[in-house]
Amino acid sequence: MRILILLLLCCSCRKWIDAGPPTNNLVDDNIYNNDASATGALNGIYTTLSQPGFATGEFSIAYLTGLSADEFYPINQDSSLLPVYQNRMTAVYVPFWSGIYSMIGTTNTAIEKLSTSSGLTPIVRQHLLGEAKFLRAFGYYYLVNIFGDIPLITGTDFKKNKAAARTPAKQVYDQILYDLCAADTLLSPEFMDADLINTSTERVRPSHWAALALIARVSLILKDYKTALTAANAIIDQNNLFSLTTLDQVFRKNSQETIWQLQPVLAPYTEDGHLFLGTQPVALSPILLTAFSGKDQRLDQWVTSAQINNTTYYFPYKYKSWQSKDPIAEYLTVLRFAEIYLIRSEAKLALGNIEGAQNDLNKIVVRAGLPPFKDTNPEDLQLAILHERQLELFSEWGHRWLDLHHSGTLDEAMAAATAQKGSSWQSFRQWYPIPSNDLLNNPNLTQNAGY
Amino acid sequence: MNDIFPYVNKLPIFLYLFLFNAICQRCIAQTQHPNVTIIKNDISMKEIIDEIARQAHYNMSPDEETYNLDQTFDLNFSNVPVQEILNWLKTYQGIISRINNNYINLSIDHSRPYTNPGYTGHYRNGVICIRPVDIIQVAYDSIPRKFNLGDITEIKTNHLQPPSGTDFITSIEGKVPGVFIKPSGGNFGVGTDVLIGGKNSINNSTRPLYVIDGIPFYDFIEQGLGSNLLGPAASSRSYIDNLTIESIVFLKDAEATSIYGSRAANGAILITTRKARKGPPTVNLQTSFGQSKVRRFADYLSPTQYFAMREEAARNDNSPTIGDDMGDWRNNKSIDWQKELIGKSATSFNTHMNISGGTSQMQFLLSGTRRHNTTVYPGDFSNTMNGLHINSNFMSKDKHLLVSFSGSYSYTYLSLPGQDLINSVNQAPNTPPIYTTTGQINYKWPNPITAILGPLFNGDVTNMFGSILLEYKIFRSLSLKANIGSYMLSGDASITTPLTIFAPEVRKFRTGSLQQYHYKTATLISEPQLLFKHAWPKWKVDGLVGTTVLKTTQERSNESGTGFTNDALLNNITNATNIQYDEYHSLYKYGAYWGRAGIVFKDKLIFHGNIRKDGSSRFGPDQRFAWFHSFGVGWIFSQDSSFQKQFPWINFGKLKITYGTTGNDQIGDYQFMQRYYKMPFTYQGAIAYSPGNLPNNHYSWETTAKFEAGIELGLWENRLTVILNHYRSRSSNQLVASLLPESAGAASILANIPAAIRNVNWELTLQTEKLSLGNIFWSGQFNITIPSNTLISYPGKDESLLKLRDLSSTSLYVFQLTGVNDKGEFQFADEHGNNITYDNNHAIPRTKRIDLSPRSFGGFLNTFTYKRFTLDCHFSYAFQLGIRDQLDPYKMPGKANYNQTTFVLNRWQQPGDKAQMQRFTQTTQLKDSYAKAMWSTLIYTDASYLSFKEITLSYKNFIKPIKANVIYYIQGFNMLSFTPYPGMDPQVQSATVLPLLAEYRAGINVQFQKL
Repeated sequence: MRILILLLLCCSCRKWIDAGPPTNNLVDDNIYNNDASATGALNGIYTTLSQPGFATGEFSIAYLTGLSADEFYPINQDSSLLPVYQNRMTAVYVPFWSGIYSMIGTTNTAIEKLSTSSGLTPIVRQHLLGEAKFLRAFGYYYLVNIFGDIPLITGTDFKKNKAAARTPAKQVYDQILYDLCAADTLLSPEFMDADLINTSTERVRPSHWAALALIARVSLILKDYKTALTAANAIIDQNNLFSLTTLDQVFRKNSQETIWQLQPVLAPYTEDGHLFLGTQPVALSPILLTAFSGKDQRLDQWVTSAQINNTTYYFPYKYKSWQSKDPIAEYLTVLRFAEIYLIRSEAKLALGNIEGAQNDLNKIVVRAGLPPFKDTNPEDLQLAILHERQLELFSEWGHRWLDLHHSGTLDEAMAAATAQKGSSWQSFRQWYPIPSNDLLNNPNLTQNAGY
Repeated sequence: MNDIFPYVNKLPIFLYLFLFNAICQRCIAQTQHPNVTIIKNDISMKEIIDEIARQAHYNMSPDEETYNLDQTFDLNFSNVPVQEILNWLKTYQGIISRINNNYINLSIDHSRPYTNPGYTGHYRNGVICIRPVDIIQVAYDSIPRKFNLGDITEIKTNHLQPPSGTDFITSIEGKVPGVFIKPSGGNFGVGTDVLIGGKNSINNSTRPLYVIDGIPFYDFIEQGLGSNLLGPAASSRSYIDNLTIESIVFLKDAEATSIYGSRAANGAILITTRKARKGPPTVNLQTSFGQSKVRRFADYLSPTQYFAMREEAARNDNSPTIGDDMGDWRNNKSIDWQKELIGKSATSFNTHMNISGGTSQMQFLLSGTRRHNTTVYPGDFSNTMNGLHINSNFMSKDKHLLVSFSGSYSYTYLSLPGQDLINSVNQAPNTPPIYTTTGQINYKWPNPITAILGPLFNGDVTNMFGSILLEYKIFRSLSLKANIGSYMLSGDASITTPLTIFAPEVRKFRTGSLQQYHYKTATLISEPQLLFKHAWPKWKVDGLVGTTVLKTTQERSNESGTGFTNDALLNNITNATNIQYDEYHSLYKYGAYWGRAGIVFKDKLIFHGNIRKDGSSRFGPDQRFAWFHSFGVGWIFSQDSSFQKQFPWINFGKLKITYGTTGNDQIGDYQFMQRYYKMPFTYQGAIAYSPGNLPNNHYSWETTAKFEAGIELGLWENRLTVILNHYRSRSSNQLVASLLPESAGAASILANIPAAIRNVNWELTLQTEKLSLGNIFWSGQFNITIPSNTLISYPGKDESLLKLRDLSSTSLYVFQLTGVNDKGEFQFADEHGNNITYDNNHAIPRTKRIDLSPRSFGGFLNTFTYKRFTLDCHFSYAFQLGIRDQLDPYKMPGKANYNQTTFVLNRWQQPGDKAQMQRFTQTTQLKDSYAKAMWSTLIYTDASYLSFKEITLSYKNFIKPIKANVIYYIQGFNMLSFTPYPGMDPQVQSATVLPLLAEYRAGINVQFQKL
């Protein structure tokens, strides 16, 4: 009896009170211990990206930066979009920031847990780690391009994270490249199925090529033309995998032009398709429309028009399906082959290979049904590339806003654009403001100049 | 903390009368035997009897049971005749004596059941002062009341019931100082908020810890089995049979609660079920029948006023009236919707039986209850509870081993409408008739009466708990105790939407649906303890060490099926074309070591301390353990002889100070982990998970430090007892969704912040013993609590943040409505006090702070006895601000087809009007300013009340032929309320849930003795 008492009184309850993880939810500690659930965590990111957010739909980078730049204008004049459109955004409502950082937070956890996880098939773990690093770099790429210097958060300690000050863009780019180089080696050159063991015809997970494509993009920004060229070459050499398709096929699911697409999950259409063809809050701006020459096939294939209250409006028509009755035909294209030609063209131009630059550019020009570009003046060629980027990549992923930035023509172009918008351009508007909520909750954070 | 509630203790009422007579008569009786002197504290019955036998040279032949009354007494008989003591034995202990030569035969008086007297008797010539030691239950033990330092109130529940359909906690409203009860509706099973010592958490639950027979349980069913009527936090107390509860003890301050450590920041409520009594079997039969109704309807506009409102709205809008009410329905007969939908009388029918008896070694109690309540809604809705309760005790011959078992089981069947029909009472008064001329439901319009056909809620709840108490006396002063218990509550419910709610001609285009909800919670607890108690001449020492291991599981699941094409198939979910399923499990583990020590020096100075080390699975691995402690000092100053000389009219006086810490871990399970939820989509055909809240391994308990100082006085031989307590608590380390910069990956994280809340309570209780007013005796109790709640610090002290998030614990910021402008539109005050109206571009600031905590509350209890009649009446009151229930936030005055209360009549009609309400309109033009007004000072109003909670008139009679005591009684509940509150119920404060019902009940209670 007495022994029993002693046992009862002395037994440690340290172990006893550990209730363990819940039985019907996975938690951060065990989700990365199993191939299927670890993949599920990454699938969660893709699923989130496919839903309206910074990647697609009415809060997306493509849509809102397109408004800030010179691609769209709002149809409804008392629209809440006016601050974005007229470049007078305040720090109270700032798009993208929370969505991208939330994704980065998930990838930080994934990278941390995957690095120490032991329960996974090595190849699965390797691929997931690659995907997570790729996604983190992908997130930072947009943050640094839209906001300038930003807090660089790569760990999971919220106490550290909540006090993180802004990191100079240069260091953010270093981290992006560091992650992309890691992803580049970790990711498979094959398109993978959801089990990450078998290959797939679905191009809905980032691959080795997606990492290279982003490396090419980033290197170009950093004026590391050789790397950009090498990366672009590696992709363009994959002629079994990638090629330029006809214009109507580009955004079809798993088209030959796809480097990485996101599969729609809410409906059998992309949210971009639904936005531009269904909701139609904005129309293509005269600046963009007049930039096209009349013979440009892209005007036929990628632009549509509609009558609203006796006015004709033009809308992006890259994605053509937007109704539930449509069978699923299109995926949201994130990275595509045509851009790689444009990147390589610019890299070659910078490295003095005028002819090569011209050839690459003409791949895109000719596909649009236009006569090849013959001018060999480097400056003209540079302008032609920028122009071609405007026409080829409009309404996709904020290319226009970012291109204006990197080409140094933002002020000039926006001065012209704001004249049409009925507002005036201030140079500090090149960066979006840091959200006031973050400034309030993080004393180490500073606002972008001018706001 | 005295035994405040004589009125629940109704049995010995006229025995009292008898007592005083008897004592006086015996005083003058001659005795042949020497007088007896017994001056001793803590004396047991056996010792008393032995002492009488020794001093007066009697041979005593007591019935063996007589010895075994577990009570001890403080006696002060100084040279009194034996007969006095024998009378005392009879009146207080129910022990009958017969003097037969040199023998005194003692036996238990079975003509009345044993009751703990719980109050003091007096012999008025000053010779005898008999003070049975009053025992009070504390955590894990019971101690003499006078040595208690904690803030404890014990409520004995005798044979009375709370109003039908409410649970036992509502019947203590106004009886316990420091405990505020806020009912959330009049339907069976809805939750009731119980707040002990004020709200001390910004974000987390402030429910007290409930312990029934030693087993902690949650007082709510999470998500309320899916019922809209029961709400997301339906009461689980409703499924405990009221009649099996013997006492409810409220532990309030740190001294009383810190032994419960991390779970006791909000106080603790200990519930004890009925225990068996020894003696020949007695049978108690009760039955009662009651009727209840909505006491006060909302004051909707009369048809004339309604049409005037509608026409005025059209005039204001410069448009013709739109809507059926002014068109096709214009000449319909008017309908009183409140009468139709919530106007029925609900009935309640209760029967209860118990049988109890046993020897001193073994006793048993068995009871059974059936309770059937209907509702005030049309249609056939009801709830039925069947309950069983059992208690059995065994004591070994040498009295070293005690084994006690208690078990309760209840099964309740609920049938309710899916929606509270009170939500439809604001129909226009001239809608088409509810029923067709043939008595069928009129489907020609969206008739709200279809709610009696569906959706329908049907549920059953099983509640079971059982506990075993083992006690083994190792040495005289040392015993080993173990309390092992288990509590289980499970419920299954379905909500069916049949096709019959649709008009017959559209049924083929519609489908039915079925939702099923399952809930199950189970708790296992084991608490081995070592108990030491010893009394030396000057010192009394007691000590207790123990450990707790507890495990609670919770399982919830629901299935939702749609697409039923045939009502006959509705009860089988497999007939649905689309089924969705969701499930939730949680496990809570808890372990603690605890100890307590008390020293009483010369019955005068009391020192007491508690310590506990707690571990809870709700915190990250590094934060699972914490220490809680308390200490208290008390001084019974009336024990000084010099004091007694100086203030002879103060017979008892105690001063006490206690201080200690407690914690709050009511944050839900697994919150410190980051959980991943399965998304309702697949990606590439594979499962996808999305992460939930950010993980935080570092957060820990909210801690509440409580300080209490009190004085307790017994005046004029306890004819008046005064208890004054001052309670202060400071709750810090608040666990809130702490805001993050979103760059950290989320907008907030659950974390401790150095915010602090202070609660200060003044509590006063005045209580009188039975005072004679001729033939009528009166005893009363009055209590008042004056609470105050302050958010004393918040990080950054940023008021604007508080305004933004309503982060104070009891107060919030609202728009300051300043009236109506010249266009008939609401206007509000901005920061500078200027009037502004709603427009898209400027945010209206929330400038007015509203404090919803009561300014004071309490109750007033009276018991009158006249011969065999007893009249109890009980008032409760509160001074507070509440929410006006007279405006529908979604239906602006003037809107077609919706009636309004008369409050809207004070509206703007023309420029220059000083009105409370903006102009009537049938359009949506003013909707934004109306929406703001619904968050403004307009909807807060004085909700103070003095409510006549309960009145009971009973008559007791002993019917010889059947040897039974019979009590006849009539009761009324919530009959009357004095309140400036303009709406239906100042306590419930809502137009969308049924108010508390007024009830009348008649019953009979037969106690068969000596079967």
